[in-house]
Amino acid sequence: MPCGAVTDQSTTTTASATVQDTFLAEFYKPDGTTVLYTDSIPFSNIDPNKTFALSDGRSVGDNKSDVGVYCISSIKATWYLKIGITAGNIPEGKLKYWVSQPYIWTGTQSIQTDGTVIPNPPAWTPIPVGKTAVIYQSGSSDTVNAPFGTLITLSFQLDPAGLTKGSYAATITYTMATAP
Amino acid sequence: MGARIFKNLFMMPPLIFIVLSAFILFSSKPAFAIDNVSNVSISIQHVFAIEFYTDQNVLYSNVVPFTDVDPSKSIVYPDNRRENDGRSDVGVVCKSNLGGAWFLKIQLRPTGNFEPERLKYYVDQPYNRNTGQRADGALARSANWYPFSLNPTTVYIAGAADQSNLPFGTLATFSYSLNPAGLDAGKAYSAAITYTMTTSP
Repeated sequence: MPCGAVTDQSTTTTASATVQDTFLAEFYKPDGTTVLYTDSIPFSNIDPNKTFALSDGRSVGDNKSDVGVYCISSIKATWYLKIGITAGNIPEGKLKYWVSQPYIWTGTQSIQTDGTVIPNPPAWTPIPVGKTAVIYQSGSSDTVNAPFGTLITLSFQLDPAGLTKGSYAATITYTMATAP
Repeated sequence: MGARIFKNLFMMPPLIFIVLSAFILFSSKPAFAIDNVSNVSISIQHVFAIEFYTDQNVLYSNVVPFTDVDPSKSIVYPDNRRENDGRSDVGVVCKSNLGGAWFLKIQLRPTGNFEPERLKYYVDQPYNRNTGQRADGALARSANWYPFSLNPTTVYIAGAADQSNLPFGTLATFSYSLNPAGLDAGKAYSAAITYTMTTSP
């Protein structure tokens, strides 16, 4: 080989990647101004003469929520968020929810999804016992929504009429599922 | 190889083919579900209260006037009342969420030499103001006119629904009558009627 002659050499690396399915629901971290709670929601020292009561730190028309749930999916299947009371001693029908139209983050801005909240339009609705009550169905804009997910915010209301003095508890379970 | 598998697939008995197809179909789209929970804690204040109630048919609260009474009559009613007019003189609303029995008592405390038996009361079955129906408790004595006593006298015993009756409570209404015979003309008399809601029989 003549001195100074250089033959180009090349080698190839094939990058292979397998992307896991993402399907998860997690609490939105309370920011103190818009979403107040996650796994513990207090209704303290409730006046039973009132026709309804909100959780601690809440007032009517305060534009806050009690809980935010992020639902993130990459599996190209319509998904549903359900809630229900799965434990506790609060009489049925006393605890109600309000779910507002959720938001997704596009990477540059926050916009409302085209999914369906239940009831639609939103209304205070008793939380049923169990885990089968669908409160949101994903739409075309957020069925696949990884990595940022859909933020679903909920508020809760207590109807104290008829409750005797004392302490009550309820466990609210949020279920994200592909089955309605 | 692939073509052979494909060919063999169509040579399978139909039932096996359907079962295999169903298995492939459903196993390729697994159902996903994930849970999160919030624990709601609630503490309810206790309420045990009695308050006056008035409307167009319940005329008085802390003052019940018998004005310009004719002492020749054996029975008179408070001002603006007449027999069987469908009205009451005083209403008291009893509210509780203690979840236990309570009792409504009345007692007369006259001033001067006013004999308590001159004044009589009539209390009918109270109302559950949450339902608009008659309350489920029991009158201590059947609805009728009874003379007052100087001692607290139970007139109503709360029923099951009365024991936790918020927010609107149980309404008991009272009517009064006076026997003015023998009272001194030109003299004013008064007596305090105390309504007590208590958990003690």
